Amino acid sequence: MAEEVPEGVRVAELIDLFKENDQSLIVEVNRRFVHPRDYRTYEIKAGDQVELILPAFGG
Amino acid sequence: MPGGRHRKQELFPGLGTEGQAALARSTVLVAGCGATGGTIAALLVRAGVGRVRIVDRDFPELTNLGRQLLYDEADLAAGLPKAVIAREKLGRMNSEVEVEGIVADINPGNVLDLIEGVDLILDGLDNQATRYLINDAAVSRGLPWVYVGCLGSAGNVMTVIPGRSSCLRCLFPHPAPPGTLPTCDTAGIIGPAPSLVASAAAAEALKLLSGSGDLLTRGLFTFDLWTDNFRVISLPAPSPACPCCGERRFEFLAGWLYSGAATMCGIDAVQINPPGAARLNLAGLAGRLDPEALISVNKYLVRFQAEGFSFAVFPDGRVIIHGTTDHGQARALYDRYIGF
Repeated sequence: MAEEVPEGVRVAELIDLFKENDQSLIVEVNRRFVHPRDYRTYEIKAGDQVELILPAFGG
Repeated sequence: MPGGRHRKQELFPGLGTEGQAALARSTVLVAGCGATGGTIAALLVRAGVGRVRIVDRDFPELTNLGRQLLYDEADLAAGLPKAVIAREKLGRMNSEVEVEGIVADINPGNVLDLIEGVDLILDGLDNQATRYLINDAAVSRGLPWVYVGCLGSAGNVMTVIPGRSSCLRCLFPHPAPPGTLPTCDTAGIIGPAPSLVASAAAAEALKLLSGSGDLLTRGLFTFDLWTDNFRVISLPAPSPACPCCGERRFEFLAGWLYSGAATMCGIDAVQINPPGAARLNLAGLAGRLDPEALISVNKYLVRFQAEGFSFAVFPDGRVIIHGTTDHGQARALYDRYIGF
């Protein structure tokens, strides 16, 4: 699912927007991992590709 | 040797005869032997890894057969634990490999013994908590391990080399609270997902054990087979602020963050661990129960039914209670029927 988001939005706001559980998400921007401690400060720029991935703990 | 069992594998330039010989000198622990662990173990035994130790707490069930390739319908009737069945079947796949099958729940009290003498730990687990424990144990001993997880049609694989790459807690500093992450019970799972993560993990093991550690996947391999999405996410260097590999606080290994109750993935069941080490006389327990309630009794476990729930009791005092995912209810049933 691809959606456009406003430029300058922070990762934490993005997680709220998509109502994801932020405790154990994998957040990736342009194929690089974003650490949970950076969610509140990391700003999305024009053209960034963001993915929110739920980690898998089954087996 | 040419013409031998591993001839085709030795022809692969990445391994060769030297790589094959290195595999034969290696020892691995496969932690959990279900869908992912069973396939990892089979691939490594067939590949000729010298010693394969498997640990599993469970026994096969009908809902496992759709994706757990080691087990079949005859195993359901036999009522034996997965580690016992797996040891037997893996031994028939390659008699040159020393296969050890241990029926146990991996917990803070036994994990360091279980990883003793191994070169690599592979994750065949079905829950978050034991992965944090394995991460602590591996990092504390400087041992590499491969995180392997799957759910639905998706999966993740990440090789952790302590001191050189991110560990599980670098990515996820704290486990998600129980009930907040999707599980095999809520999201479902299809067989190709565990088979793919298992194959990726086995390839990581072959690289690492044969001396091609510089070719290990650098990052988190993530995929979704249903949406055709495959990629490797670049990870930062190990974080100095990581509670585990940075600050070396092994909170799961110390038992502080380890719960005695765990929901089992993919089945409507809770496992209860007894507080502290315990040995249970299975024959004595079976003798105290109503004979009509007994499902099966052998030296590995006693299964019985009560109040609409079914119980599987192991000699270490561990009980898997089917018919509930409520930890409080499971603990109450444990106290009522087992009562440590």
